[in-house]
Amino acid sequence: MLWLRLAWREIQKHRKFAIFFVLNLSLGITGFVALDAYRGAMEDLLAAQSREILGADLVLRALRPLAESERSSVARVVGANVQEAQRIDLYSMVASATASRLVELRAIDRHFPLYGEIVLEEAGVANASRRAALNQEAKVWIDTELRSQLHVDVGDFVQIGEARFQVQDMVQKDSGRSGMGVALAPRIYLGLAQLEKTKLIRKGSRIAYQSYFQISPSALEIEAVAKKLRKEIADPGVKIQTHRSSSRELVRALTAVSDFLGLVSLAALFLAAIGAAYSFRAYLMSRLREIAILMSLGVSVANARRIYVWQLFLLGLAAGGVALALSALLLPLTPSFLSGLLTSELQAGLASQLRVGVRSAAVALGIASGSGLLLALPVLLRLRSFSPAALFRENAQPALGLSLKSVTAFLPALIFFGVLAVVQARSFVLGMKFLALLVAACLGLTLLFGVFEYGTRFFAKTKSLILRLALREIVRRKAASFAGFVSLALCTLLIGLIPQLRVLIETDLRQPPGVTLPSLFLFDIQEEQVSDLERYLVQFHARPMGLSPLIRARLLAVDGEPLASRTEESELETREEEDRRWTRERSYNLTIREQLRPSERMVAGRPFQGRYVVGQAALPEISVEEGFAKRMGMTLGSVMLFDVQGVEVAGKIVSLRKVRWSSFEPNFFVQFQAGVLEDAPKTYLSAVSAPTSDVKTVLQNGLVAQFPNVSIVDVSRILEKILQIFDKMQRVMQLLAVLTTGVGFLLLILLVHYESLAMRWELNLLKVLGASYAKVYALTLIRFAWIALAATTSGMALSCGIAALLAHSVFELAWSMSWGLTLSVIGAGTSLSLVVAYLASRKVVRERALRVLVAPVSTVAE
Amino acid sequence: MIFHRRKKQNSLLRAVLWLFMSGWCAGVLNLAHAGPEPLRILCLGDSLTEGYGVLPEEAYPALLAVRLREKGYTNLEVVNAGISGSTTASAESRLNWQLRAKVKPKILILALGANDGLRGLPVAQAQRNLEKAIVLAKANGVTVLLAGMQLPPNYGPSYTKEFLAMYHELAQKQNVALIPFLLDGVAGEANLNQADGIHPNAAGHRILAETVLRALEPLL
Repeated sequence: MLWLRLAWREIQKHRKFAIFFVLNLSLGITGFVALDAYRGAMEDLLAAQSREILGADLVLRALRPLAESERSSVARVVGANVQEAQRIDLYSMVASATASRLVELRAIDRHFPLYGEIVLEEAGVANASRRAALNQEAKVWIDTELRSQLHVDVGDFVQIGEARFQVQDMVQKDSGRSGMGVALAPRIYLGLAQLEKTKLIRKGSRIAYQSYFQISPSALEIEAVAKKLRKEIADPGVKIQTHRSSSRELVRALTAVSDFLGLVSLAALFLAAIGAAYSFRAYLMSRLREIAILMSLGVSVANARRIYVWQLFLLGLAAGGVALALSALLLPLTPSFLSGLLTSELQAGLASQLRVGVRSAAVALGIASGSGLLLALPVLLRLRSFSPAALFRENAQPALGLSLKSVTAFLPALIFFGVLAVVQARSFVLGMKFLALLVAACLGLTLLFGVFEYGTRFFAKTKSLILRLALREIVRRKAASFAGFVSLALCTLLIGLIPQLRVLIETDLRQPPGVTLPSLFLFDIQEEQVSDLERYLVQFHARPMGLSPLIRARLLAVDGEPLASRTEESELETREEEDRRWTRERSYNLTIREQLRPSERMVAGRPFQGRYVVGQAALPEISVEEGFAKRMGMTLGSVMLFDVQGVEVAGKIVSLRKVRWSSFEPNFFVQFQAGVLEDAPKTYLSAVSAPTSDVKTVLQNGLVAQFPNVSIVDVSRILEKILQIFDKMQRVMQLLAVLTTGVGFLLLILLVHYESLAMRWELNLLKVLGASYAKVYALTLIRFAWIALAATTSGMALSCGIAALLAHSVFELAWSMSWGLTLSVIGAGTSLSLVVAYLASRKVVRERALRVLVAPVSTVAE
Repeated sequence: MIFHRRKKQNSLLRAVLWLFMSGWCAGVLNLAHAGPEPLRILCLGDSLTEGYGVLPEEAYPALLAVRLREKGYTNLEVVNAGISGSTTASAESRLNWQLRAKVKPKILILALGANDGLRGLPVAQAQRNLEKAIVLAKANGVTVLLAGMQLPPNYGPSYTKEFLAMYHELAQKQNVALIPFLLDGVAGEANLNQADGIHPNAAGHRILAETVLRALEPLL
């Protein structure tokens, strides 16, 4: 414990510095903790929304009741103390006194839904007691559209199977309505206990049995339970869904936002790490004179190291503690400061969710205590070559040389941050990619520093004394200039990258220009009905969107190889094998499309060459969706052979398309050139946009009456819900981008502050030599302006490069330079550096110059 | 040549063989074996006919062809014109497409209506649609075998009864052969159906083929 005592004594001796150091470092760590807390809170809020859609954390769905063995597997995996609800769904014809129609019967127990709510027109929220009452009486709640379709109202009776039920209320809202796919018919809710009376459940009945579970607030835990259940229950007929997998659009959006939040969190981690590294480096530099004294008194290098390792550890730990205390105090207050960026719902949600998590606290303490030691390792290792003679030099610094040893000294830090990055991103791939990106950025910045140094030497040949002195100082103090340049540039890189990524993800989630959101989807429109339907829609100022012919065909062969023979059926098919088999054997919906829709983009090949003429030598042309082509192992030039209703039709792939499936436009994997399939039997499908919700209801009823064979799916509710979530996600990303920028600038202040104070000795020397205050200020500001301008420009250039790369390779979007953002980050970074440098150097400039000659000078103020 | 029948029957060799065989065997072989043109049996249906979720050769039309050949009907072709999700509304236009083919069908197995029932469409309308297709087939000299369907009991007693009666009424009115229930022995049996509980698996399709075969043989 001797070294610990010595370290403590050192800290006490330099108490003022210790406080300065702890406060500076804790600011960086506070930024990280705050960002991490926001990320956690936002994830919880978004998860709550998707839970409401599913009505549970996890759902088991099957077209039969679960077997006893399956039930015991479920009980074993999910645990005994979880909340469970049951629901049974079936379609049935229901009759009133004057009409009958198909409805979806939803038989619920008193616990359903576990999340979200059912809101009734008269009674309001259907609470547990109302749901319990529904299970005891022959009463039903019906969808409002059934009022006109069955000509019934509250108090009237409907015949369901062999029983009569009284309409108790109308369902105004069901938060789970946008859940599993789409409903083909309006719904009637009845008590699960009342279902037996209908006598609809018999052998051969098509019934969906569903068990809902409320397991845990942790998405990871839920996914783990789902994974275990999938292993335990072999029958692929039992579908297991978690709230995250309940909607394809939602999964895609949640994954994108989750990755963004992970990146923000990693950016926060590395901003904190840069702050920590810089603080520790500055601290060690300020202690070199003491180390030289110790070594000249006979203390070994190893022992000298121990004293400083302990000091760094203790100071880092203290900074971590202060940061956690600051975060715990300030975090609950932040949502009210950010009210401009948040809806009132989000603000209230955040106020209750924001907290410093255990993982976040552990990572913060890890960075504060551990990262300092590891990042200081290269400097500590160089102590071996540090000569006590440095005691007699005014401004001793270890030389900056790139040897194999000095590079390997960074390896422990790299591994440490690699582990932290994986923990923080909760993804090995994402964490490693981010780390690789930063290492590449550091290498790029080292090269750019070389260019910067060359330029500085070139401009230092000027006749202006102050300019010459300022620029030569940069070259002379190469190690400090390099550290300052790289830190500032990395900081700018992250500040610039996060808003650009936000814009990319937002653009990806947003509807493409020219796409209007539909209210209804119409299927199975017969060819002879198309013109009548179009005329009918015009009466309601509604219009068909993307009306497309649909020709069913079976894929027989690709490039001459029969498809069926590619599949080797085994008795024990996994779900994945089953999926692959299904992809290959299923029938496909082909369409004829001469032009691309706004939601699709050609990524390879060429457009169709006009209309195909039967008998021409070349094969008809096909355009295929990129992902589908990849799954089927097809490329441009591949020949697909289809069986269209007994007629074989071959075609050659001339283009690959990227389709935005989230655009809610009718889209197809395979499109044929015009002139090939026009005579084939086909139906049409279309999306329809209705001007208002009232018009939509009237339109829907009219369509049922006039075109009874046309299937109508009301997609307005599901779209509304998904768009609400997208909006929330966009706000989350905006908020976190602003917060990250704030933390980045805070770090920038810290770096410049250190750098300015590190110039103390030079500034005082200039004063001793007779330089005026104005000249001293000019020298300081020129030096900082030069480094800050070069570093922020380099950082922004790299962030633009990375954003362009991500736009091209990940999001497949066109990237364009945002000059506003680029210039404002460079301008703000440089100006802020100048202001901080001015304020920090003012104190130094005003102190007595003679002090430099009588007292040992530390590079950091005490 | 991009439009071509799956089975190329018009090769020179086949023609020579037919000339030889027709002279030698005239009056001996039945209709299926007699002509140069194969006996074309058209299965016009929905996903049950298309073979949703099974390999093309596992679907009942393909199995039917195999069973017929085993029984000696070598010169025949069974066309699978099933489209998943299709309703009776498409029956007439799809039959028209098949009637335009070079080799016209001689027998039509009309297996539509299940999706009309599952969607709760008016039974009278489905009946009209099927009747139009039957009338069109008969007008073109095509023998019709109507495949009846039943709805799951959850659709309610009144609708399911009305739906079942539709096929019997149609068969009687149009005087065509009827398979009372295409999924007889298969519906509701977990081991004969896929996970969705509604589409037969390969074993289920084998039973379907036998059911169709029994009703078809008297028509050949």
